[in-house]
Amino acid sequence: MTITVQTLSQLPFFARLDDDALREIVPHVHERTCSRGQVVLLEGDPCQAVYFIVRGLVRTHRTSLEGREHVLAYLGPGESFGLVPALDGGPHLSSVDAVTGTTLYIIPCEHFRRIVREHHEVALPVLEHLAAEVRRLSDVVEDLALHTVRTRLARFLLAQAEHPQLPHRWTQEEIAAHIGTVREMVGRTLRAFAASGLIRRQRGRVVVVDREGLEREATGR
Amino acid sequence: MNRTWTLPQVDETRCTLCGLCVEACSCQAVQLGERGPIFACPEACVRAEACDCCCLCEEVCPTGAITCAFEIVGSEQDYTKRN
Repeated sequence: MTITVQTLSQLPFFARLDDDALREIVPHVHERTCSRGQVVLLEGDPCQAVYFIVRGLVRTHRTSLEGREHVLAYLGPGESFGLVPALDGGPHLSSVDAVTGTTLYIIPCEHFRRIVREHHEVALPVLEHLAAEVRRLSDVVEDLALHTVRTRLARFLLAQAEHPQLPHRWTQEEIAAHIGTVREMVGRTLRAFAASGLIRRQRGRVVVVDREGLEREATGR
Repeated sequence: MNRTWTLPQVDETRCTLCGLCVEACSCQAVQLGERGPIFACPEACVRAEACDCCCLCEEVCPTGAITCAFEIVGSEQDYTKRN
Protein backbone atom coordinates (compact mmCIF):
# COMPACT_ATOMS: atom_id res chain seq x y z
CA MET A 1 0.00 0.00 0.00
CA THR A 2 1.43 3.40 -0.95
CA ILE A 3 1.34 6.11 1.66
CA THR A 4 -0.45 9.13 0.23
CA VAL A 5 -2.01 12.37 1.39
CA GLN A 6 -5.36 10.66 1.13
CA THR A 7 -4.49 7.57 3.21
CA LEU A 8 -2.79 9.75 5.84
CA SER A 9 -5.81 12.07 6.08
CA GLN A 10 -7.96 9.07 7.06
CA LEU A 11 -6.14 8.84 10.39
CA PRO A 12 -8.08 10.91 12.97
CA PHE A 13 -5.02 12.86 14.20
CA PHE A 14 -4.34 14.15 10.68
CA ALA A 15 -7.90 14.56 9.44
CA ARG A 16 -7.92 18.35 10.05
CA LEU A 17 -4.63 19.04 8.22
CA ASP A 18 -4.70 20.55 4.73
CA ASP A 19 -3.10 18.79 1.78
CA ASP A 20 0.08 20.92 1.89
CA ALA A 21 0.76 19.98 5.50
CA LEU A 22 0.00 16.32 4.78
CA ARG A 23 2.36 16.35 1.79
CA GLU A 24 5.15 17.51 4.11
CA ILE A 25 4.48 14.64 6.51
CA VAL A 26 4.10 11.78 3.99
CA PRO A 27 7.88 11.28 3.37
CA HIS A 28 8.43 10.73 7.12
CA VAL A 29 5.83 7.96 7.42
CA HIS A 30 6.91 4.33 7.11
CA GLU A 31 4.66 1.36 6.63
CA ARG A 32 4.98 -1.97 8.44
CA THR A 33 2.89 -5.08 8.08
CA CYS A 34 2.59 -7.64 10.87
CA SER A 35 1.20 -11.15 10.69
CA ARG A 36 -1.28 -12.58 13.17
CA GLY A 37 0.33 -13.16 16.58
CA GLN A 38 3.46 -11.17 15.77
CA VAL A 39 4.95 -9.05 18.56
CA VAL A 40 5.02 -5.42 17.45
CA LEU A 41 6.89 -4.04 20.45
CA LEU A 42 7.66 -4.89 24.06
CA GLU A 43 6.85 -3.07 27.28
CA GLY A 44 9.98 -1.26 28.51
CA ASP A 45 11.56 -0.96 25.05
CA PRO A 46 12.87 2.48 24.15
CA CYS A 47 10.33 4.32 22.06
CA GLN A 48 11.41 5.10 18.52
CA ALA A 49 8.09 6.01 16.93
CA VAL A 50 4.34 6.48 17.12
CA TYR A 51 2.25 3.74 15.49
CA PHE A 52 -1.04 4.21 13.65
CA ILE A 53 -3.22 1.25 12.73
CA VAL A 54 -4.36 1.37 9.12
CA ARG A 55 -5.73 -2.18 8.92
CA GLY A 56 -6.21 -5.00 11.42
CA LEU A 57 -6.33 -5.32 15.18
CA VAL A 58 -3.67 -5.20 17.90
CA ARG A 59 -3.73 -5.99 21.60
CA THR A 60 -1.86 -3.93 24.20
CA HIS A 61 -0.97 -5.66 27.45
CA ARG A 62 1.29 -5.62 30.48
CA THR A 63 2.84 -8.70 32.04
CA SER A 64 3.94 -9.27 35.64
CA LEU A 65 7.26 -10.88 36.58
CA GLU A 66 5.34 -14.11 37.27
CA GLY A 67 3.99 -14.04 33.70
CA ARG A 68 0.47 -12.87 34.53
CA GLU A 69 -0.91 -10.82 31.71
CA HIS A 70 -3.31 -7.91 31.86
CA VAL A 71 -4.89 -6.77 28.61
CA LEU A 72 -5.22 -2.99 28.44
CA ALA A 73 -6.97 -2.57 25.11
CA TYR A 74 -7.74 -3.86 21.65
CA LEU A 75 -7.02 -1.21 19.03
CA GLY A 76 -8.29 -1.12 15.47
CA PRO A 77 -8.03 1.03 12.34
CA GLY A 78 -7.50 4.74 13.01
CA GLU A 79 -6.23 4.16 16.54
CA SER A 80 -2.65 4.62 17.68
CA PHE A 81 -0.13 3.44 20.26
CA GLY A 82 3.24 4.64 21.52
CA LEU A 83 1.94 8.17 21.88
CA VAL A 84 2.80 8.69 25.56
CA PRO A 85 6.44 7.54 25.34
CA ALA A 86 6.84 9.48 22.09
CA LEU A 87 5.82 12.63 23.96
CA ASP A 88 7.51 12.09 27.33
CA GLY A 89 10.63 10.30 26.08
CA GLY A 90 10.16 7.29 28.37
CA PRO A 91 10.01 3.60 27.42
CA HIS A 92 6.93 1.88 25.98
CA LEU A 93 4.19 1.46 28.60
CA SER A 94 2.88 -1.85 27.30
CA SER A 95 3.61 -4.68 24.92
CA VAL A 96 1.70 -4.80 21.66
CA ASP A 97 0.98 -7.78 19.45
CA ALA A 98 -1.05 -8.26 16.30
CA VAL A 99 -4.34 -10.11 16.78
CA THR A 100 -4.92 -10.21 13.02
CA GLY A 101 -2.83 -9.33 10.01
CA THR A 102 -2.11 -5.64 10.59
CA THR A 103 -0.79 -2.68 8.62
CA LEU A 104 0.80 0.17 10.56
CA TYR A 105 1.96 3.65 9.66
CA ILE A 106 4.98 4.62 11.72
CA ILE A 107 6.22 8.14 12.41
CA PRO A 108 9.54 8.59 14.25
CA CYS A 109 9.16 10.29 17.66
CA GLU A 110 11.19 13.38 16.77
CA HIS A 111 9.19 14.01 13.68
CA PHE A 112 5.89 13.40 15.43
CA ARG A 113 6.82 15.92 18.15
CA ARG A 114 7.65 18.43 15.44
CA ILE A 115 4.27 17.88 13.79
CA VAL A 116 2.50 18.45 17.12
CA ARG A 117 4.54 21.62 17.74
CA GLU A 118 3.88 23.06 14.31
CA HIS A 119 0.26 22.06 13.71
CA HIS A 120 -2.38 22.86 16.29
CA GLU A 121 -4.81 20.86 14.08
CA VAL A 122 -2.88 17.78 15.25
CA ALA A 123 -2.13 18.96 18.79
CA LEU A 124 -5.80 19.28 19.72
CA PRO A 125 -6.85 15.73 18.71
CA VAL A 126 -3.74 14.41 20.48
CA LEU A 127 -4.78 16.21 23.69
CA GLU A 128 -8.36 14.96 23.30
CA HIS A 129 -7.07 11.43 22.83
CA LEU A 130 -4.87 11.66 25.94
CA ALA A 131 -7.77 13.08 27.96
CA ALA A 132 -9.98 10.17 26.87
CA GLU A 133 -7.24 7.73 27.87
CA VAL A 134 -6.96 9.28 31.35
CA ARG A 135 -10.70 8.84 31.73
CA ARG A 136 -10.64 5.24 30.49
CA LEU A 137 -7.68 4.26 32.66
CA SER A 138 -9.30 5.92 35.71
CA ASP A 139 -12.27 3.59 35.15
CA VAL A 140 -9.90 0.62 34.88
CA VAL A 141 -8.21 1.59 38.16
CA GLU A 142 -11.58 1.93 39.86
CA ASP A 143 -12.63 -1.44 38.52
CA LEU A 144 -9.50 -3.20 39.72
CA ALA A 145 -9.22 -1.44 43.08
CA LEU A 146 -12.82 -1.21 44.19
CA HIS A 147 -14.70 -4.11 42.63
CA THR A 148 -14.60 -7.83 43.24
CA VAL A 149 -13.83 -10.41 40.55
CA ARG A 150 -17.53 -11.31 40.62
CA THR A 151 -18.50 -7.75 39.79
CA ARG A 152 -15.81 -7.38 37.13
CA LEU A 153 -16.76 -10.64 35.46
CA ALA A 154 -20.45 -9.70 35.46
CA ARG A 155 -19.56 -6.38 33.80
CA PHE A 156 -17.39 -8.14 31.26
CA LEU A 157 -20.10 -10.66 30.34
CA LEU A 158 -22.72 -7.95 29.96
CA ALA A 159 -20.42 -5.80 27.85
CA GLN A 160 -19.49 -8.68 25.56
CA ALA A 161 -23.09 -9.82 25.22
CA GLU A 162 -24.08 -6.27 24.31
CA HIS A 163 -21.15 -5.20 22.12
CA PRO A 164 -19.09 -8.23 21.13
CA GLN A 165 -15.44 -7.41 20.61
CA LEU A 166 -12.83 -9.41 18.77
CA PRO A 167 -11.89 -12.16 19.45
CA HIS A 168 -15.44 -13.52 19.55
CA ARG A 169 -14.44 -16.77 21.22
CA TRP A 170 -12.99 -16.35 24.68
CA THR A 171 -10.99 -18.65 26.91
CA GLN A 172 -10.99 -18.35 30.68
CA GLU A 173 -7.33 -17.29 30.52
CA GLU A 174 -8.10 -14.45 28.11
CA ILE A 175 -10.96 -13.23 30.27
CA ALA A 176 -8.71 -13.36 33.33
CA ALA A 177 -6.16 -11.20 31.49
CA HIS A 178 -8.94 -8.70 30.77
CA ILE A 179 -10.43 -8.35 34.20
CA GLY A 180 -7.24 -8.60 36.24
CA THR A 181 -7.52 -12.00 37.86
CA VAL A 182 -6.43 -15.60 37.30
CA ARG A 183 -7.97 -18.35 35.17
CA GLU A 184 -9.10 -20.40 38.17
CA MET A 185 -11.13 -17.49 39.56
CA VAL A 186 -12.85 -16.97 36.22
CA GLY A 187 -13.76 -20.66 36.10
CA ARG A 188 -15.09 -20.70 39.66
CA THR A 189 -17.07 -17.50 39.21
CA LEU A 190 -18.60 -18.65 35.91
CA ARG A 191 -19.68 -21.83 37.67
CA ALA A 192 -21.18 -19.77 40.53
CA PHE A 193 -23.08 -17.59 38.03
CA ALA A 194 -24.38 -20.70 36.28
CA ALA A 195 -25.46 -22.23 39.61
CA SER A 196 -27.34 -19.00 40.45
CA GLY A 197 -29.14 -19.13 37.11
CA LEU A 198 -27.55 -15.92 35.80
CA ILE A 199 -25.90 -17.59 32.82
CA ARG A 200 -26.17 -20.90 31.03
CA ARG A 201 -23.08 -22.68 29.79
CA GLN A 202 -23.56 -24.58 26.59
CA ARG A 203 -21.27 -26.00 24.00
CA GLY A 204 -19.17 -23.15 22.70
CA ARG A 205 -21.18 -20.42 24.36
CA VAL A 206 -22.17 -18.70 27.54
CA VAL A 207 -25.71 -17.35 27.37
CA VAL A 208 -26.86 -14.54 29.65
CA VAL A 209 -30.22 -15.81 30.88
CA ASP A 210 -30.91 -13.41 33.76
CA ARG A 211 -29.75 -10.01 32.56
CA GLU A 212 -31.23 -8.12 35.52
CA GLY A 213 -29.57 -10.48 37.96
CA LEU A 214 -26.24 -10.08 36.20
CA GLU A 215 -26.69 -6.31 36.20
CA ARG A 216 -27.18 -6.44 39.97
CA GLU A 217 -23.91 -8.36 40.21
CA ALA A 218 -22.28 -5.78 37.94
CA THR A 219 -23.20 -2.96 40.28
CA GLY A 220 -21.96 -4.90 43.28
CA ARG A 221 -25.39 -5.08 44.90
CA MET B 1 -21.52 -33.43 11.92
CA ASN B 2 -22.32 -29.74 11.52
CA ARG B 3 -21.36 -27.92 14.69
CA THR B 4 -20.42 -24.33 15.45
CA TRP B 5 -18.51 -25.13 18.64
CA THR B 6 -15.12 -26.78 18.98
CA LEU B 7 -13.80 -29.40 21.34
CA PRO B 8 -11.48 -28.27 24.14
CA GLN B 9 -8.04 -27.39 22.79
CA VAL B 10 -4.91 -28.90 24.33
CA ASP B 11 -1.47 -27.32 24.51
CA GLU B 12 0.64 -30.45 24.79
CA THR B 13 3.71 -28.45 25.75
CA ARG B 14 1.97 -27.45 28.98
CA CYS B 15 0.40 -30.85 29.75
CA THR B 16 2.04 -32.84 32.57
CA LEU B 17 -0.18 -35.92 32.03
CA CYS B 18 -1.56 -35.59 35.57
CA GLY B 19 -4.93 -36.99 34.47
CA LEU B 20 -7.07 -34.56 36.50
CA CYS B 21 -9.09 -33.71 33.38
CA VAL B 22 -9.99 -37.39 32.91
CA GLU B 23 -11.18 -37.60 36.52
CA ALA B 24 -13.14 -34.36 36.29
CA CYS B 25 -15.08 -35.10 33.10
CA SER B 26 -18.58 -36.16 34.09
CA CYS B 27 -19.37 -37.58 30.64
CA GLN B 28 -16.20 -39.58 30.17
CA ALA B 29 -15.25 -37.70 27.05
CA VAL B 30 -11.53 -37.48 27.89
CA GLN B 31 -8.86 -40.11 27.61
CA LEU B 32 -5.23 -39.64 28.44
CA GLY B 33 -3.00 -40.12 25.42
CA GLU B 34 0.77 -40.33 25.33
CA ARG B 35 1.24 -36.59 24.95
CA GLY B 36 -1.90 -35.22 26.54
CA PRO B 37 -5.66 -35.61 26.87
CA ILE B 38 -7.68 -36.69 23.87
CA PHE B 39 -11.24 -35.41 23.62
CA ALA B 40 -13.91 -37.33 21.79
CA CYS B 41 -17.08 -35.50 22.72
CA PRO B 42 -19.86 -36.00 21.88
CA GLU B 43 -19.37 -39.05 19.63
CA ALA B 44 -17.76 -41.18 22.36
CA CYS B 45 -19.63 -39.56 25.22
CA VAL B 46 -22.19 -41.84 26.84
CA ARG B 47 -24.20 -38.82 27.95
CA ALA B 48 -23.97 -36.80 24.75
CA GLU B 49 -27.46 -35.41 25.08
CA ALA B 50 -26.92 -34.36 28.68
CA CYS B 51 -23.46 -32.87 28.18
CA ASP B 52 -23.50 -29.17 29.02
CA CYS B 53 -19.87 -28.55 28.12
CA CYS B 54 -19.07 -27.86 31.76
CA CYS B 55 -15.41 -26.99 31.08
CA LEU B 56 -14.37 -28.61 34.36
CA CYS B 57 -11.41 -30.11 32.51
CA GLU B 58 -10.16 -26.57 31.86
CA GLU B 59 -10.82 -25.54 35.43
CA VAL B 60 -8.98 -28.42 37.08
CA CYS B 61 -5.98 -28.35 34.74
CA PRO B 62 -3.13 -27.08 36.96
CA THR B 63 -1.01 -25.83 34.07
CA GLY B 64 -3.62 -24.20 31.84
CA ALA B 65 -3.03 -26.74 29.08
CA ILE B 66 -6.75 -27.05 28.24
CA THR B 67 -8.87 -24.25 26.86
CA CYS B 68 -12.56 -24.31 26.05
CA ALA B 69 -13.23 -21.23 23.94
CA PHE B 70 -16.76 -19.85 24.01
CA GLU B 71 -18.82 -16.99 22.72
CA ILE B 72 -20.71 -14.73 25.09
CA VAL B 73 -24.24 -14.02 23.93
CA GLY B 74 -27.20 -12.14 25.37
CA SER B 75 -29.73 -14.73 24.22
CA GLU B 76 -30.17 -17.75 21.99
CA GLN B 77 -31.47 -15.39 19.28
CA ASP B 78 -28.22 -13.36 19.41
CA TYR B 79 -26.25 -16.57 18.94
CA THR B 80 -28.33 -17.62 15.94
CA LYS B 81 -27.92 -14.16 14.37
CA ARG B 82 -24.11 -14.19 14.83
CA ASN B 83 -23.70 -17.65 13.37
